[in-house]
Amino acid sequence: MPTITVSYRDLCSLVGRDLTVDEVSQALFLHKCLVESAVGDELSIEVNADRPDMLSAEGLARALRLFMGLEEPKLYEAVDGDVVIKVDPSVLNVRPYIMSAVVRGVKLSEEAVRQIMTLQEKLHLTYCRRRSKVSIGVHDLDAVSHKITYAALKPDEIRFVPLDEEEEMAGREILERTEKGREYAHLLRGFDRYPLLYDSEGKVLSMPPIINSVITKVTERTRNILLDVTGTDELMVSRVLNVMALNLAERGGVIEYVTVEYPDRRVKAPLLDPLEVEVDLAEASKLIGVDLTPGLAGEALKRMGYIVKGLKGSKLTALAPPYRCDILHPVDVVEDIAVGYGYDKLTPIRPPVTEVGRELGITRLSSKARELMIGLGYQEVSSYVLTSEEVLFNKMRLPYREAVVLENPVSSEYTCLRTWLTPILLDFLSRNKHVAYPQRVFECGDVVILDEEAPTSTRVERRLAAALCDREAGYEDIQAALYALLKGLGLKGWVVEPEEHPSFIEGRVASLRLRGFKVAVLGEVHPEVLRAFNLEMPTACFELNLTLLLKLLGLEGRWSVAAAGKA
Amino acid sequence: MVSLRLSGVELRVLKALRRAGSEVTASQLATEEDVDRSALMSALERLASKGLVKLERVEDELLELTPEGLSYAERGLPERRLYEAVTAGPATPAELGARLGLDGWALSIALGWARRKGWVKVEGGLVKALRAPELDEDEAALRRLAEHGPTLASSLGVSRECVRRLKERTLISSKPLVEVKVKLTDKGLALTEIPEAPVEVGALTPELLRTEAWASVKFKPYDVSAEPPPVYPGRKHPYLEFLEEVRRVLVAMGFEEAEGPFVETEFWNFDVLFQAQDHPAREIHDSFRVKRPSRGWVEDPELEERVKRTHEDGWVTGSTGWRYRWDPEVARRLVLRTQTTAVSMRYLATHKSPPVRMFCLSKVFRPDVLDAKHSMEFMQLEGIYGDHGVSLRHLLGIIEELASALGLGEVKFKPGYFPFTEPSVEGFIKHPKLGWVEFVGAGMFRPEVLKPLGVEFPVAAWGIGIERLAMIALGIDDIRELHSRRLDWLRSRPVYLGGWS
Repeated sequence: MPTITVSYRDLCSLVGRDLTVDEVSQALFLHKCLVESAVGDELSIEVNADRPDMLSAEGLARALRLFMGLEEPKLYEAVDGDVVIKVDPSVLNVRPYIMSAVVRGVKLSEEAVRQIMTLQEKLHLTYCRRRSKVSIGVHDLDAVSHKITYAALKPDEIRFVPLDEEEEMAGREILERTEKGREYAHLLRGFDRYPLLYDSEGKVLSMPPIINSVITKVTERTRNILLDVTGTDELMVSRVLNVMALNLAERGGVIEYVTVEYPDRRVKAPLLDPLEVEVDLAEASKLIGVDLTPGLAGEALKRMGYIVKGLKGSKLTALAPPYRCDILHPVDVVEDIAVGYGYDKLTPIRPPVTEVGRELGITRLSSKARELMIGLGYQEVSSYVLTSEEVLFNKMRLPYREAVVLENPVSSEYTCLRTWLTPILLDFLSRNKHVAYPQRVFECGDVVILDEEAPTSTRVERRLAAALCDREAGYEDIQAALYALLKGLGLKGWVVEPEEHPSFIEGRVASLRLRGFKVAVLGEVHPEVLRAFNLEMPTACFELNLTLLLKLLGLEGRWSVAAAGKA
Repeated sequence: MVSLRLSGVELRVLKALRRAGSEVTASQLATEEDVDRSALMSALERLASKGLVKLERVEDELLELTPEGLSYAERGLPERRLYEAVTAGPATPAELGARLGLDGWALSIALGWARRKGWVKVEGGLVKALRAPELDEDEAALRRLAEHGPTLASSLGVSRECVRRLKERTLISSKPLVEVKVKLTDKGLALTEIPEAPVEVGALTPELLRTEAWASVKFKPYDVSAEPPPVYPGRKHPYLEFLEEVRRVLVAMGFEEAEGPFVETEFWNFDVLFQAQDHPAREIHDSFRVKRPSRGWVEDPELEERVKRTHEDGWVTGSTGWRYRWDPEVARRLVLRTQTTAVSMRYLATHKSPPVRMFCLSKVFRPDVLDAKHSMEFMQLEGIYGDHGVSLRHLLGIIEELASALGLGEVKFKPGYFPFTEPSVEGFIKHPKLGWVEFVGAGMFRPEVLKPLGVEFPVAAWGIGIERLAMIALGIDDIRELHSRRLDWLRSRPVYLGGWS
């Protein structure tokens, strides 16, 4: 979730009230925000991702004023202006949408400029999907003429001094040499023309979605601001423009329309009409658990900036403010009713327990088996499911076998999912060579096996593996433990056969079958494997398939919920 | 066979008495046997009650040199020094005082005692030597006290008059004391005539038991307070033990456990949860993609169609949808499950008759580099409760109950945001040291999630990063410790007793 920094004094002045830090924190807490720290005048605030309009002090202050009843919700409007942006057909297959607005007569402090930059940056990172869907340019309107063109030009036709740079650069140079250029170059990859915004005198405003020109830089002295918002999704472009323009206007500016002339149509932005939503109060009452009268719901909605337009039966029609980007469904308005009502007033109701709770059969079988192993003196360990092919196969003297392999591992130690537990235990032992012997350890955990028949092409199996590492640790010792475990689980009639397995000493490894199914492997670990794990003591291991055992024992049925009489 | 049970101290006392052959005092016993006096006295009382010893109480006193006495013990009594001074020839008292460095008063004391003891006489103004013993009784007493420290009057070996005299001269001080004289009775004597020093054995063996020879042997005493060798019992893993507690609580709250695959299609991990196909959570920074095998398939084509339409235009859910072309190939991509909510989805797809109470306590994966605070795989605790009439307040109730059952204390709530729930809520618990700690994200599943699944009742859902809770509860500040590879650490951990550490 995005975190922003605001000035406490600035926030209070925008709210129009002297609030204590606690009052601000409490009100913001009930409004989805968390004040993470308050140091001097600086408040660090975590804002929820669904409210991009609250990503600056202006938006926070507006939300607080409404929430505290210091301001009535209102309709927003703009006045006509003379800025026109002509869209050249060349840009339509690169970055097809642009909207723009002017905010005239703003008074900017140093803090206000910082907030504009924060809002722009945080919007870019979150709602704008790192500029891939939408990007924003903020300009000093007085630096350019009011006839602007939005076109796509060949990179070497582009020349201007980018923001924070000192020399003129060509299109490709900008992508290679500026920080923002390198960060966002991938958004223009594959295009032979780059979008450019320039005025009738040839002055460049910006090269969306990469960087602005230095000449339109906004400072404290800027009075009239031009916003350009470009992107690949027109609705999102419009919403982002609304957030920028309406938040800026909180500093006392007047919003002016900008006309965008496409080859085939004309758009007057910003689009400040509210979104009309119909909410069924009966449904909302049930979902929140509070009996919502129209009065109660109306009050709550007002605190959230909605204008209540009408009521028909239990259906309430509300107008959502145009800076809201997150309303997809009436249920989003229902949440706003709950927030406006106050989460602190929602007393919890503990529902009575009417059902029998139950663990999974495999959990129960695992618990029983784990207890038996503990009784045998084995220390339980718990490892990651992620491991490496090096551990699973190479160190185990195995040819490569199939495992789930990651496309984007973050370290060479964790590149695939474990297919068996024995190597994981040996890896554990290898890190404890100097700890008192005998070392008896076991792990009861999941492995992932490739399975073409499963919809996920894999299946999870619960295994239990044990290892005994000591001066004298042999086949018979581990066999005794495995037999005790199996007997403890009430099993009998298993058959043990010699097995060929490169990880173990030839002639000292076996498979254990139950009703024809191979459920376990046991043996003395091969000296080369011991050496690979740097182990200096003989080690004997077994690995038992509990998932298979659960099926063979028919416990799934005995322990299932159906068996307990639940439908 | 004597059927008497004697303690170790009692036995030692009997043996000491036999060795002494006569009456001894309790003080002597205490010194010789190096036994604490009060332990000795109670042993003596027991022996007396068994008729093995006879005790006689006598009043006595403990004598100790005064500083003056000590100095005389070192330098000799004044009368001795005076006597020695005149053995060379008679002298006037004034000459003697000068020779011995004694002033008038001290000289008169020295002269007084020397005359009283008959060592010198004064004739015609001259002091003349008579005869003195090499060591008189007073001197013997001082010497012994100087050598042995505080001593009982009865064992100093001098006359009562001598003691009285030295007390008068303030050369010794005394404290009254009741001394006990101990003497073996005939019965006691008989008992001690059992052969001394029986065979000492190290261990009780089956043979000793069978032949009853254990009765005539002596077991070598142990240093019972010495450290025993370490024992490493089989133990549950501390983290898994904590998770068992959590499971127990959920079962008690009527929840049924469920599980799903670790390798999951994006369909169940994201699409069913109404997370758009360009949602950042799907990017390689936030999800582990699977290279081999790379594709899965969607079991229910009708569900797939409903999900597709919900994403594209909201279908019949009342939503605007995300307004894009939904790509079935993206839904087939395999990832390592990033949220156990995928398990809730699979569960709801097959449990459409209310009430539904499910929990899943299992692993999820995120592409984070392992360090003290981050892990590429961790446990999540997920729960859903669905029924007609279930509301946000019920959800808060369940969270509150869960926190109290886990011993985590007070809870407060804040509205939150999750892509698949609305309304959404975040729960905080009050940790005694850390303050308010976020511990749960929750909400009511969105209609865009429930409708395509064919679920016709509201479902409350919550997810807890149980790893963080476990760390606080177990007092661990490095997340890697939860999967510690240190055997000695695992062996030394105490069991989890519930609540905060």
